[in-house]
Amino acid sequence: MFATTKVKLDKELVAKIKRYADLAGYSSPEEFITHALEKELSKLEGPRTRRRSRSASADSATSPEDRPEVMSLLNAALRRLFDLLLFPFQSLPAAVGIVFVSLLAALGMLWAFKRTSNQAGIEAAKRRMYAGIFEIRLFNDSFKQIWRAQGAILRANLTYLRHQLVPMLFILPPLVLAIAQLQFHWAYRAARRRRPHRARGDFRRGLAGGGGVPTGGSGKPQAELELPAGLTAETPALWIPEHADPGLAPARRPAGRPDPRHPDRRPPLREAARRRAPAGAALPVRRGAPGSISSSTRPRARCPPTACSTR
Amino acid sequence: MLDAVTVRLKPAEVALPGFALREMASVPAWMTLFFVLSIVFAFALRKRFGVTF
Repeated sequence: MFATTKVKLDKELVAKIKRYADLAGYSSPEEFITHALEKELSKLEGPRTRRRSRSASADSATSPEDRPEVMSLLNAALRRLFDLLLFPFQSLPAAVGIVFVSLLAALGMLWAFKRTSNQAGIEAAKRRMYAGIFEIRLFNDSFKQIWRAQGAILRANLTYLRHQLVPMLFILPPLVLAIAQLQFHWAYRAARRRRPHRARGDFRRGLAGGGGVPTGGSGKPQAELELPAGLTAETPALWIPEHADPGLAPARRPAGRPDPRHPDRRPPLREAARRRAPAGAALPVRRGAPGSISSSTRPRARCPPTACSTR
Repeated sequence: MLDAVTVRLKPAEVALPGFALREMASVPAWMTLFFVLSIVFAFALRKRFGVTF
């Protein structure tokens, strides 16, 4: 016999647990609670175990599992910074904010370029290129001299590029992170009040196939979407059977690749959510595969608890 | 339960005096303006910073 401990829970919470346990296909609410607790505990235990193993070994490099977490933390910090930076421009046309950010970026790039580049080397390489051009103009009757000058120009050009490469290594990474943040502010038309938008939900891979989602007689999944405050569903959810593979696997394909079932239809290249949704309600965006690059180019959008609960 | 909830939004234009800059070759309008202005500002300020490139 297992020893049991009773825990007092709020009635509303218990009702919610029962509802979602049923929806998610758990045999009982107890099983659902046990699973949720085990999941949370493994999350808390995970970092400690990793920290111990790292301190024990000489290898202090970040493990691949840690990288998306690091990127998420970095993006969260950058998001706050950029929200604060662009706060005064929220009510102004986008061009004003872009001019300001461009000026900041130019100042930052100039500062970094001055600190990290070999200014003397760049000057010398440029002088050698000018000299080669003058040489060609001066000795334009000598084929051999022209070839020699061309070779000198090419060599100077490669040296010039090598000198440019070093500051680029310092300038480009922060620029990429900044661009990823700015993309959420200016790339898409904002979701406006009283203007309808279509939302699409994809089931987690393997969840439906594994019997995790109860289905009705027609095969339609018995699931509902909880919307955050400020958003209302104008129509009931539409389920398109032809978009669902057998077992309700998510109808998802790499962006840019045509749908084999609808070759004439343009693939959804631009599916994303703007963080600033009406009434302060933020919508989650589709995330790429876990990894440093996808985490940096598609930073996780702020996700309200109610929207997160639908994931 | 859901892997993702997505909302399809149209690309934004950047309104400039006299015309609106649009997305070109999948490059967002804001990015075009950002890169052009960054380069212009960097060139304009390079001598003040004592930088050559």
